[in-house]
Amino acid sequence: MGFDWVFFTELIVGGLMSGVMYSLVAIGFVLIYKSSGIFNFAQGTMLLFAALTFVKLTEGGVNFWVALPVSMGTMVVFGILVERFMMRPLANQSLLSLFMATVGLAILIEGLAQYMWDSAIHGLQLADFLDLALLDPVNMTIFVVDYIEWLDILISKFDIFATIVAGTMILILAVFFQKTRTGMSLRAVSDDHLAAMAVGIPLSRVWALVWAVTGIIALIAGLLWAERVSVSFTLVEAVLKALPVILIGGLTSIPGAIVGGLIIGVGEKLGEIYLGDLIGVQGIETWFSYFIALVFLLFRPSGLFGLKTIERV
Amino acid sequence: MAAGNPILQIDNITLAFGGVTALNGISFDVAEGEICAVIGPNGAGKSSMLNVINGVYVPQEGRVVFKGQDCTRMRPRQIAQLGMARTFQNIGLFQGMTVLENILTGRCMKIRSTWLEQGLNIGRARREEVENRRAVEEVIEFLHLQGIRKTPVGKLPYGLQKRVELARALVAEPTMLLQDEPMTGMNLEEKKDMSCFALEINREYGTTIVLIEHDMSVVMDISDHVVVLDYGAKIGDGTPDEVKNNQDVIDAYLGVTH
Repeated sequence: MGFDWVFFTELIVGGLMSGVMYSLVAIGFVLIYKSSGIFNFAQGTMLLFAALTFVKLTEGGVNFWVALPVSMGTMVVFGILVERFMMRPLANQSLLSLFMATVGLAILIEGLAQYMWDSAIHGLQLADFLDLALLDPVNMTIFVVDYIEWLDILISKFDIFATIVAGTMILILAVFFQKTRTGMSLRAVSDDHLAAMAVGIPLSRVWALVWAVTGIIALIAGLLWAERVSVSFTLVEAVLKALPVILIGGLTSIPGAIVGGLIIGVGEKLGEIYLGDLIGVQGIETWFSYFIALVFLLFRPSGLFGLKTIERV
Repeated sequence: MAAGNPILQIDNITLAFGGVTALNGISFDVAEGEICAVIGPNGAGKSSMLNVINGVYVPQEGRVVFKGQDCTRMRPRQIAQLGMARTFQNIGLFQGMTVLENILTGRCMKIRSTWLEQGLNIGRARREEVENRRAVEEVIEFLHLQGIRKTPVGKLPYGLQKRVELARALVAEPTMLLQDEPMTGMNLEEKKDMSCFALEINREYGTTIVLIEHDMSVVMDISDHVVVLDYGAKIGDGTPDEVKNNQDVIDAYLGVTH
């Protein structure tokens, strides 16, 4: 039996598509890290909170096209509150204090989500809301995924949809942070807080914006992922998938997050099938991405695109 | 001394970090249009002084008055809006950006257009872009940075990076410029260039300059007014000649036998 090229291509395509999802979540981390210098421990719970808000709204009978902007608005308010009550009082404090603050934030959001909504597992059928979208309204539930055939390759329709949405988000973010002065301010803030303030860049506004945008990313990513794993606390763990991505791409680089996501997406699928068979272990998908990240870190300690840090002694 | 009203008044500033008193009851005035040097041996509190003026540190006691406004508790951005720009001892450039982009950030307070206008490059954004480019080009020419517009600043030698940082401060059209050790780590020729730039900026634009140095010889030639700090206290204040002959200053720099 020769090598199954069709199956291989399927794996690659599937890997690339889940990779785009990882990239989107990773960008959330990168934005916070770039602007505040910290790893945002609360990213996962933000994802959950955003998705829960949306689900509860729609379960309460709110129309999809109303629920979406309302959830977005909630995340923007959230971003402004984080800046006002967390970032501003802690400005110029040690990064460890800030990091601990995000741990606290994670616990707070988790409690808040349970208090405001509930801790039950919610199914989310995005496809039901989207039957006017580019996909035809076949039953796409969480567990039964509809496939299309293209060049003999089976691709999940929802994966295609998710890829397009995530890809568009990434594109908009990339253009926004490259072309506008706000983007420039963000890059300035990430390079040097003090210098940015001295130049007159409004640090508070940049922070509020970044946290709000991260909230919106969390919402979109949360909804797309919830389709597969349902809206529950497993979503928080799903975010851990982005960890090896940012290790590979470098914590400071949006292109790095994109490339890293694709590498992890593909590597994980290939590893599961080919390496798993080879060493006779099942389910290596769960840890293989960390292994890839480890190998990359051996050769590129600051990631593929990360800024090399040179300490002036 | 270039005569003028005090543009900056430092009134009895005390700053402590935990048990360490970095500045102890420091007062001095900076007259409008002068070049004022704050000198002192390492650890004298010079950088702390500058960070208090600039709003990075809030002192425990005392007041900083700039252009008649109490700015002791203002944040760096508010102070920047009043017309104060600064450079940093360890170079506060944005390493990921080119020379041109770095200097452009200095114009950020002049921007009124929204991000939507900028993203689409319409309306006010377009006009501001033209105006900002003109200002940037003027400064680039003034400081002879023409050849390296597109170079990422991280790739430039130390002396040039310092000059780019000066350009970024200058492009904001400040009334007062703070320079934290602009000549440290430079060779003799670069030091001369830097001194010339300070003089030219002062004459051409009437910018008041406060600069920090620990090398006395460099600043004596260009300063109108010298303030000497040692161990967080002021030990000298006056014209370069007065300071040069001040016994306390000589002791601080050369040491005394105890």
